[in-house]
Amino acid sequence: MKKTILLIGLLVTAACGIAQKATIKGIVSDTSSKENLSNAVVSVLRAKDSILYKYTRTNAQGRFSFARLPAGRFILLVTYPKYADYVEPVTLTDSTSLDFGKIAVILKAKLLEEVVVKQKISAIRIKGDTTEFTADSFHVQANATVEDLLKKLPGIQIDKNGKITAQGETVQKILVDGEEFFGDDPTLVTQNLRADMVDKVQVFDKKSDQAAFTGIDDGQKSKTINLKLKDSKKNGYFGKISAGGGTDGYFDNQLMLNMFKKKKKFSVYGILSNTGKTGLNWNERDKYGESFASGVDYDEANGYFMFSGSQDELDSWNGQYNGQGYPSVKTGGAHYNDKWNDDKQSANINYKILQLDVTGTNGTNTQYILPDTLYYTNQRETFNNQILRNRANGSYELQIDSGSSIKISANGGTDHKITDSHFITEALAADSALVNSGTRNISTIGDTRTINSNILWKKKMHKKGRTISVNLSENYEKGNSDGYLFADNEFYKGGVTYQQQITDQYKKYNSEKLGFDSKITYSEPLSRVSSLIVNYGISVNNSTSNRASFNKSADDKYTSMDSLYSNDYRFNVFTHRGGLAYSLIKKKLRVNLGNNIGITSFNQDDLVKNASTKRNFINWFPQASVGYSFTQQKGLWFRYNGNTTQPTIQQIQPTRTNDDPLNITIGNPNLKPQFANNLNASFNNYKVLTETNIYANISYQFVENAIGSRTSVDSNGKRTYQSVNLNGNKSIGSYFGYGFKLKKPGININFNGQVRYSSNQSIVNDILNVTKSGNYTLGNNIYKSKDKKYEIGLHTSATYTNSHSSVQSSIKTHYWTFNVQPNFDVFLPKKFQVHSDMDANFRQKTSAFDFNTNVILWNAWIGKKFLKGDALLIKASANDLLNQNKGFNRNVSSNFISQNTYSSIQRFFMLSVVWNFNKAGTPVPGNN
Amino acid sequence: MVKSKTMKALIYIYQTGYAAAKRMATCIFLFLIFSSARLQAQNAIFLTEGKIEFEKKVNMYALMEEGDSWNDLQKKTMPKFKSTYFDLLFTKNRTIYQPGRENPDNNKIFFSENIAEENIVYSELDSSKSISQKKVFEQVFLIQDSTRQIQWKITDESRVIAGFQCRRANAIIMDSIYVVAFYTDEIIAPGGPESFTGLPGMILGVSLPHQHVTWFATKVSATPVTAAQLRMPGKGKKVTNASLRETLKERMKDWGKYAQRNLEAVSL
Repeated sequence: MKKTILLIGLLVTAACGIAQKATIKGIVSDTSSKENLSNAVVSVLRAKDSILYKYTRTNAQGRFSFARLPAGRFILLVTYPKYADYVEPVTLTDSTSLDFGKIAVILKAKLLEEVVVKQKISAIRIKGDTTEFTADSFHVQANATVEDLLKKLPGIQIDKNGKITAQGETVQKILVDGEEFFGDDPTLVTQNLRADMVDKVQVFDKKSDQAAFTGIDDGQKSKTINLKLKDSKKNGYFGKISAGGGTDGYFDNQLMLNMFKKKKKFSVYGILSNTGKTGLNWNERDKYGESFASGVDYDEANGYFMFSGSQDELDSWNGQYNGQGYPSVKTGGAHYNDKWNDDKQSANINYKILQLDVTGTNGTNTQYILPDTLYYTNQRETFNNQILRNRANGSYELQIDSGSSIKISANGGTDHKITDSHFITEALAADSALVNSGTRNISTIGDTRTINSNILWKKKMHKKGRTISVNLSENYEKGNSDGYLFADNEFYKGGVTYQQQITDQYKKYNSEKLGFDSKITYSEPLSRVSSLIVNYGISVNNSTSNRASFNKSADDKYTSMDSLYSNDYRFNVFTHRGGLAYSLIKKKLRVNLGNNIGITSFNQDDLVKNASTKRNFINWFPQASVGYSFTQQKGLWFRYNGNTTQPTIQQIQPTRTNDDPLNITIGNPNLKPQFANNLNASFNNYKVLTETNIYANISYQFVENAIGSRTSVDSNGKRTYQSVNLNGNKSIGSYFGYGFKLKKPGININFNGQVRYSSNQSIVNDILNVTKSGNYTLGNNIYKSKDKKYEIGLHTSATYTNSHSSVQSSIKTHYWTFNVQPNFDVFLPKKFQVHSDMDANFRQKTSAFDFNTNVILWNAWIGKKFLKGDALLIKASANDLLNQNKGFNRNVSSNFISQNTYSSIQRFFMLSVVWNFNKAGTPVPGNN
Repeated sequence: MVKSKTMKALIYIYQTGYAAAKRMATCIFLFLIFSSARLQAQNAIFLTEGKIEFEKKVNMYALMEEGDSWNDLQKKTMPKFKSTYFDLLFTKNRTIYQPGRENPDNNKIFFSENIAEENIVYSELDSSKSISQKKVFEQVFLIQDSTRQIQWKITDESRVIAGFQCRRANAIIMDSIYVVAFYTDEIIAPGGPESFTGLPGMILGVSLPHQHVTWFATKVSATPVTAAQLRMPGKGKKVTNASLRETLKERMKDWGKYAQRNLEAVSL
């Protein structure tokens, strides 16, 4: 561009330098009054392409002149408001000196008087006021322009100046999918809209913008043509096949396929793996399943997102198994979605089946801090669990009109679970003397069925910002399980067995939960930036729980019911809930204040004892948030909310659970709802161009009627546990992160710090205990990458944890943990790639747990890509090269300090082949 | 007929969106004021100073790929067209283009890209000098350069924008961006929104069809413009168009296709 200007400049200067220049002058005047016109625009255009070369305006006397014009062919154009254009071709030589004398221009009004316009109307009316033509039914040549197509349509004329008339009226606007179309200039643009891209041509009367905005029809209409483009997506498919075989019986085979036809999408996948892969990850779900995005709803009145959608605890973001043990999975799924009727209707259906077998071992060591003494327990578990899961969900959305929509969704599924665990346990006193020891077997077979559905209707009223929505939902869950418990525990005094307890029971557990929820929300705008939102709803949550334990009768059959561990209970909760909220959304300030009140009644029926209790509660749901955005990337937030948690039927059912006879749980029918107050402040500042970011937040929570625990441990080391309401639990948390980029070597560096501190109450052997625990982390990330060359990163962190319980404040637990994660990827010539990642964890031993739990987990692979578009990858990988992997957990937030280690996949080597295939459709036309 | 034409010529103010009755009342009022003046049926009135409000409209959906669930989710949070308003103050050969009234509808847009929404462009049209203050994310740049040289192709097409008869001109800028502009010769200053200048009159409408952006005047008023109102912007890191492009290219090198879009939006 610059060069061109420079070149023209040079040429002009050169021309000027050599030769005498051409001049043009004249006077512009009105034809009839002969008066000279000042300020008329006189332009000199290049004849070959109408490019404006020079222009001037006439002076007060109507005179104009151009000096220094180069030789060539030009067009002289004289314009004056409301006058017809005056156009005169001129050919200039180096010595031309043109004097036009008087140029007389004529008023358009006068011209029009002499022309009578008459047009014939012919139209095909469909769809109310809109005439619609299907473009394909009018034959045009390949590469024909939109103008060529329009010319063929009945009732539409295009004159030589490109002016379009439809049904006798001038077309004011041509739209392409709603956006104004100006027509491409083929001499300037190669990317033109072709006739064959057009699906439908619609001719209608467009209301004025004013009418569209206010909804009040002012009667001003203009003829408009809308060109609806064809769906850009063509038919196609893509997919992935990967097969891997490894040492020690490891395998990982995956097949994923997605087919699309216009807006229909159908995909299937199947996975057979025992390396931890149990489902689709984030990315794969977008391509081959139901995207995580479809579970997100946007609340327009308040401007925030709500995550919903069907929950499945085995689904994870990375598609990996996160639990304990060695998983082996067979799973498959199918997904279908479609949009039709101009995207006004859409549907989405998913089905998934999964068979997961997990085996493993698990060791738990616990230190019980009691008012007068200490206990230690050691437990070792061997487990073998299987689950067969079926899940289906679907949704249908209908845009009824521009203001209202309805969405219906449903999901359901079945789980068939078989679990089998074997435990070996021992308990030691403070002086390491054996208190008890035992073995325990539990085997259970259970089935769970769920059906949930939801209907959401939304309507935007005529007045902007006035909306109403109604949401109805239903949740149903039914669970049945039965199984056997066998526990043999011996209790010691002075190293000698003095008591033995054998529990041999058959257990049946049936539960049912049915909930209905309704909510109506109305929002009324108070101004263009603020609104008032009113909501009211009722909800019903009914649950029953039937626990039955049977001891062996004389006939050696489990027919004698043990009433201590059996109960049939019904817990019905009925809630009226309503409230008000105020929302203010300005450019920089966002305020949201509101409060809901819930009137809740509990109906508790002990169906065995025929005892009923009824309790009423008033629950509050206050919330407030204030956000201030200094700029787009810099903001400060304060938030408060109070939320109520209702007790579950398992917590209130007045029966004992002896799944572990050394740890008895007792229900508490007097449990009240818990109310938590949460305060949060956060600040973020992200500098995009310099890649600098600061993020800080601090949060504080205090809880009234916290659902906590009352435990007592007797001299045999037996623990009894019950949920109780406690006051005064609080916690504070804070995070700080600062990241920047060292410009010269191009290294991204990030520092972060985290503080978590909590004070939790519990009742231990009838004494109020307060456990204060803290967790303080400092971390650091360093990252550098060079596109298609290498990526290298290092993450390090150090954490200090401490805890002490008031029942024995002399016992203090504190330790350090360190984490180091170096990783790199190197892209070598000939499409080789080497990858390595390491996760090293060093945990300081504590007085209670004095064995080594350090793990250095090192994974690495080398791969080579083949074929066009790197479609094929062959990869040799090593998992846990140092063969050290094990799972680890420590919990210090109560007077039971526990440490858990469990089996995880260790060293294996694998060779795998990954093939990505596709037959993709052509890219979207018209879009860049 | 002649009367109403006269009125039209005399009335400096034209405002779209006025209710018809209100407009009529204003017309009569102004007519009474000006009826004492000599009627010049053929001589147009040329505006030499005043204020133009532009509505910049961006098609938000066009920039997002079809069929992606995350894009579908984003679309729910925003209208198809995002409108922002700018005021252009002009005298005979000075213009300043700057943010105008706020559009409260934009406050709710969750994923909002505010690039070029705080641009201030000051142009001295007789000396082809331009000073613009542009905020690119957190950084403010002050671009001192010459006005953009555009090779305009004049056409016969015309349309009325904000009451002014405008003529269409087409051009290509920055090597590849197709520009459609509508200018009126009834306003003397050869200016326009952003850096669009160089036509024999004021540009009242611009469209970049392939970038899915338009600027159209919604209101032109012949209010007097003082020197204080035409103050050059002075904040920001001093750069030229070329050096700014280099800086941004360097910083956005890993951004893929977004870099191109941002670069274009900043460079207009």
